[in-house]
Amino acid sequence: MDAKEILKLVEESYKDEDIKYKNRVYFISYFVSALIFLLIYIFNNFFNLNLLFFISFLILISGILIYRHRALYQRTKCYFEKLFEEIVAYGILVLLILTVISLLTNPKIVPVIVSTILGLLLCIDGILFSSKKRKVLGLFLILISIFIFINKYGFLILAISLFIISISFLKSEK
Amino acid sequence: MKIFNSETRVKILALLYGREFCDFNYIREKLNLTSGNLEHHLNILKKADLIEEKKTFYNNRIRTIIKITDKGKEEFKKFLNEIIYLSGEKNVN
Repeated sequence: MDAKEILKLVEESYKDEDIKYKNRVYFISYFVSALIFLLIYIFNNFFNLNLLFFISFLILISGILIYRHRALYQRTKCYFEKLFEEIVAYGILVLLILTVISLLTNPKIVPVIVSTILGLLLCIDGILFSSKKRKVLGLFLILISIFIFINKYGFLILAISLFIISISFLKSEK
Repeated sequence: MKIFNSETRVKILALLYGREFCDFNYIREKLNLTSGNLEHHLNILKKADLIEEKKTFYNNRIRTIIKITDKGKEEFKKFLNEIIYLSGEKNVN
């Protein structure tokens, strides 16, 4: 065993991910997000009900599912994953602040904000873990935001895009 | 350090070096080892305080999580520097 072989193992240990677990968690989170935006679209256009209960219920269910998956199935966690978790936390904070601001000023751009920030996070994930699939999906989400902005079915388009992304995570490739 | 005499132990530490944690079965599959063999090497590393083992129970399932300790990182870094230095000398000669 030479130095090169050891260094290769060390390098791998920094960015090696449990792809099976990650794909499952991504599927859950993107599928639930798609469902939330679909509900927002349906309730906004066809019913006049309070959505807060349904949305908080869905977020709670997905949170429990993700926690369960982490406790049961996550087999490894590398340094880059730890970094990415921190980036996601800050990204979600930015998303929340921008969503509140846009809800108070121009609610039409909420799906645009969600789409671009989720796309950016997915791109960062793709760059960190050298995943072409995630980079392309992130770029797709960023670019679709233009279409969301000029179209009156913003939430519906976002829901469909997120649904397509969640389906792509069902395949167990990187 | 005697611990680094074994290629398997060096590989285990290299595998754990950049990670927060690793599952027992994940290491076993990655390094193509039997459970008994891996257990033996992990016990040696544990006795030297280079790794720590944690068993977790969730829904009647037992998981063994392995982490490298600060001491483990330090010792492995020293070993790695030595190896790189020696391989550099070899190349010059």
